[in-house]
Amino acid sequence: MRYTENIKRLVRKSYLKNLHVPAGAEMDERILGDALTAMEDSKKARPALVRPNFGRTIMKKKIIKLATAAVIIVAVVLSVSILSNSTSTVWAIEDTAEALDQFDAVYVYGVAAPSLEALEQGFDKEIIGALLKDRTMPIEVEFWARANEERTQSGNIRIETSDGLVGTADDTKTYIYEPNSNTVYVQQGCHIMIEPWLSGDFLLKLKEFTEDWQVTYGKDSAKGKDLAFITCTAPSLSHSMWIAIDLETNLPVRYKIWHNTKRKGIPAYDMQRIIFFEELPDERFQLQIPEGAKVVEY
Amino acid sequence: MLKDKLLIRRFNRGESDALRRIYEKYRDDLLKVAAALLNDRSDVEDVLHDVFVSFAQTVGNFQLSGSLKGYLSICIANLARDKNRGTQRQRTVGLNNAGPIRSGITGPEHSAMRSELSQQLDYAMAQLAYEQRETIILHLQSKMRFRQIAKSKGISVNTVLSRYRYGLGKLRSILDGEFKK
Repeated sequence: MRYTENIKRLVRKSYLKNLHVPAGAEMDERILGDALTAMEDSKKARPALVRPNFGRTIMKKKIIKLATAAVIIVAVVLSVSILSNSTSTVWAIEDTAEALDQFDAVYVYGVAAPSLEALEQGFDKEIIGALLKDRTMPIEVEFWARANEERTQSGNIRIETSDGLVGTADDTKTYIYEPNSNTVYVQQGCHIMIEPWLSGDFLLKLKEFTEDWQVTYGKDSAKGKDLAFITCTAPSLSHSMWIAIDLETNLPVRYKIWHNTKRKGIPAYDMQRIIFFEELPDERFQLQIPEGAKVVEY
Repeated sequence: MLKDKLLIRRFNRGESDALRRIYEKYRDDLLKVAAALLNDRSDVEDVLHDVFVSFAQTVGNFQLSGSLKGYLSICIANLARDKNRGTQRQRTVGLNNAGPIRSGITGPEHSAMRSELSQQLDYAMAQLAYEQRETIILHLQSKMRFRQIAKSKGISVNTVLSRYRYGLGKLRSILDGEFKK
């Protein structure tokens, strides 16, 4: 990992940055001049095509259902000791926004307690019944996800719980394997997702959207890393959050969400380990149907 | 992204200012992509020229499904690959002494300006298979996502990932060898 990062940095900073390229008004004039001439010639050849045609604009609105195990990302408790302002490094939101935009995939481990309301928004009632039967919340969960092309939400996701439940989802279908009944539930559409995606743009909007945004500093006593801690509240959603940022990588490493504005009680999502990847292989998001499992489609 | 969509809409309406803005916005990045991918850097300007002329001809018809920068970068990469093939053929006919990458700008002054590390990287990049170099440059310079590259090239993400990893691994071993000398 370190080697890869070093080579990438070398390519960016020492190779691409120093790469000599032609420049000058003469070059711009030649290229733009020829391109503009080509554009005019094409316009003459297809005059009808360059008139505005607003009537043909079709706006597609994607209806997104929120699912439970999904709204997430992040966080936790481990051994973090807050030593207020004990580090000399000052965190800047722009650095984390930039760092987040380098990655398209994420692995998250933690504890989650999705609400029934959230489940009901995503799944068929019979599936919810099967999911909640003999299962207590909160539950240990880990998931792998990669962003959709627009980086607005996850495009593929795989979720696994400590008691063997496995779910995968993409744009078209959601699969959930429930081990107690040895059943695979298949539902049309995407019902497990991370939305919004943890992009730089999202972080910047989060700061604008939330209230009481505060940053403190401390150390992860287990790993000795300097961290910045963000706390904020979203009163309109009755949510509050806590995010830990590693000051070396500028990436979030832990995250908690409470379904109240005071950060009181057990968080609904207490995500304790977050690892970002540039990409994850397709196989990670495919569900292998266990032998003998019943498949029920909705 | 939104700004690009707006620019494309204006471009499709035939506004020359939109084409000018697109050119000015992406010129420098695209020149770097071309310079990094071409075996003969005197072709850099021509490649950018041909890509923009072709792009201009799509007026009224152009549809953007991903990022505009990614689309133009892929056009540059495809043209660079074709040019390299041409250069390769010429070399086999009679230019066997040509190095893997020739700079269009030469001379002691230029050489002195370039750090030793840059030259080593230049050499190491030139040793990579074209597909590996292309993947690394499209990802690191054009900031294209692996899935975007895979889609535009019609190959699997796993193939793109393996080209990227093997490319970086080869760069590392070449540079390690260079530094040990």
